[in-house]
Amino acid sequence: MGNCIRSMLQRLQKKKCSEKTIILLIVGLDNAGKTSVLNCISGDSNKTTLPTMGFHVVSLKYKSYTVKIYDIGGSSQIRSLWPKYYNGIHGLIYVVDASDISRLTENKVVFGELISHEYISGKPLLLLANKQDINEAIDELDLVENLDIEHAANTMKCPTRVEICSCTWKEDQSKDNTIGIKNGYKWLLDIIVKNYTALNNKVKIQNVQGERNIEVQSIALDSPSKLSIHSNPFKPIKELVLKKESTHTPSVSQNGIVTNGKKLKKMFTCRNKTAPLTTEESVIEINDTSQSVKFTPKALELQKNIQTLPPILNPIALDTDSHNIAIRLKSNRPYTAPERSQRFTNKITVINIPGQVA
Amino acid sequence: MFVYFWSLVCWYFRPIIKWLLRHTTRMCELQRICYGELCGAPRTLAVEESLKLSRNANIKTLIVYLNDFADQRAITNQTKQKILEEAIVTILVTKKINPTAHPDFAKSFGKCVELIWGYRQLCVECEELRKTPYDADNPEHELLLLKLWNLLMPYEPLDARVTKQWQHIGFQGDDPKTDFRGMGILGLENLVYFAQEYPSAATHVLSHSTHPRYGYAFAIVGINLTSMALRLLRDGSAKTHIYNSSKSFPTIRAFHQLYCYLFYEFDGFWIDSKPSNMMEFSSIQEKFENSIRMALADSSTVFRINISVDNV
Repeated sequence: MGNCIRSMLQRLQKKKCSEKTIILLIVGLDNAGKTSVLNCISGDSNKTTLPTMGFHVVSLKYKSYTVKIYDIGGSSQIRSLWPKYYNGIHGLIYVVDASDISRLTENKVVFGELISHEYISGKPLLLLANKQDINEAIDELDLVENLDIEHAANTMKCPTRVEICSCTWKEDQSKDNTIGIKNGYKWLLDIIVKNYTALNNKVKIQNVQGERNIEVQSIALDSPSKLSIHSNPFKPIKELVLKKESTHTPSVSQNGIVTNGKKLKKMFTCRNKTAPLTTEESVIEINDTSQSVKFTPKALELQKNIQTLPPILNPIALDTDSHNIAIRLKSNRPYTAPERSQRFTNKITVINIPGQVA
Repeated sequence: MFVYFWSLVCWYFRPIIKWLLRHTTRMCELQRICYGELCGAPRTLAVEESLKLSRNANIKTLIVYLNDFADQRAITNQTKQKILEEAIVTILVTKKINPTAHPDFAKSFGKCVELIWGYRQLCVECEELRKTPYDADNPEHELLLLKLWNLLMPYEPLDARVTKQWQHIGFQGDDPKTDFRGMGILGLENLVYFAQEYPSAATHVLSHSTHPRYGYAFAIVGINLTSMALRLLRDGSAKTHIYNSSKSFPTIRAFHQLYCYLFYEFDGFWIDSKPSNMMEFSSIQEKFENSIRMALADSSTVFRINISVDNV
């Protein structure tokens, strides 16, 4: 009898331990509708939303996984704190207020900074063009063009999907508006579940790295002498354990990627609405993602330089001058992008007029 | 199960106890409350409970009648006296109380009725203001917003209606109108009241909010605190404070006062808890709310702002 109970308890405990968590992060400018999107995902869309100060966490269930969603405030003061959360996440949701055309340039800058962060690379990204219930809202194709998502997602190898949605629910429009959120959310979780081992290992490594960075910083700050910490033979045992873990995990992660590589690639080319290029640029080995931890912004810049036209990649002119973007777009237009026609030129003027207001 | 059993016991025993007490003391329950309990929240809360549990048909219709008045916001200074008299007369008649023998009863009971239904009307009023969204085309709203700026930043003129300057007082973007989502015009009115009635406290709090280490967004925190104050009002926790602090009919002023107290106290609470960054807001706010709720659970609580700005 006792044995029976004990075995049952053990089994339960094991189940609890093996329970996997997926951590998602919702970001975007203020008033983009992040909290509303989260309310929509968690199922209580009637809640009144306040400007988020700090962040909220919501825990949900998906299949056998626990999904934790962090909803972070989007005000410019908080934006500098976003990167602290990048290391622990499996996927990202970026919400754009598609009806506010005047803030597209700001969105482009913020999004560019976000996606070029070393911890974001290779992680799946869901882009929501929110507030489609407002007439002036732009659709997903315009958004992709305006934020230069193709290029960014390709260079960072992020599986990306763009959905249009709206969180307000009017009677005459029926429920259709929120379907974009639900589909996108399901896609995001599915892709994470498929590549869970690889992603999770990456997250673990990044966590360890992040912690170590903090530790190194604190040690450096605390130690009055200029002795390098590497020469110090006495290290805290915690650090050693962490080191051991980090040397141990990469091999696993590589294995994970090797097995999942093909699937990931398939994801890239077929399922996304904005799939990466099928030209020579996308033939970057997927194995690279496992080493992406070592990416630094500089390395990225280098890569970019090789891949695209070198003289235009002046970082200052990158985000401010839309003409340069136009030229840069010419160099690598993916096959999924809408045909370049009058519409495209129209869009550029749209950027120019309200964008310069700020 | 236990709760069900307990309510059953109460349902049968309460009348028996009441009957016994009525015959031993020769007073009805309302009289015993009005004479026995302390003036303010203890008495008003007890009267409210007693009226709610009453099974007398007359009293039940009286409650429905008063609720209707409060929900339609029909209790004003003009109608107040008439409504109160009607309520008191109804009680005196149904409970067979001799007004000449008990002159104090009518007075103190009247005050309780005033507070109870004033509170109810205050909830309706706040809800109405919350539902009014900030409208950039409404000159009244615009003027109120500019007033807020002038009160908080008297020495710095606003360059334009849409400007980065709004971020100095803790709005998120260049245009504050989007930040009033959720709380509507109530959030703005709260902020304006705070800046207007307690200018020294408001500037003190604002200067804290620009602290390099423990800084926060003044206006956004203010709007979040409006939501908290409204939560307290809605679930009835704020009753103790409102009943204790109001001399007569509670108006929107009472809510503003509560808000000012919360904002001032929260500022101190935030600085004392030494947050590492703004991300700790939700946890600290939760702690703060719990401590406020703890204080409100004591029926003698009344919040008063004690401004000690000068010595900082």
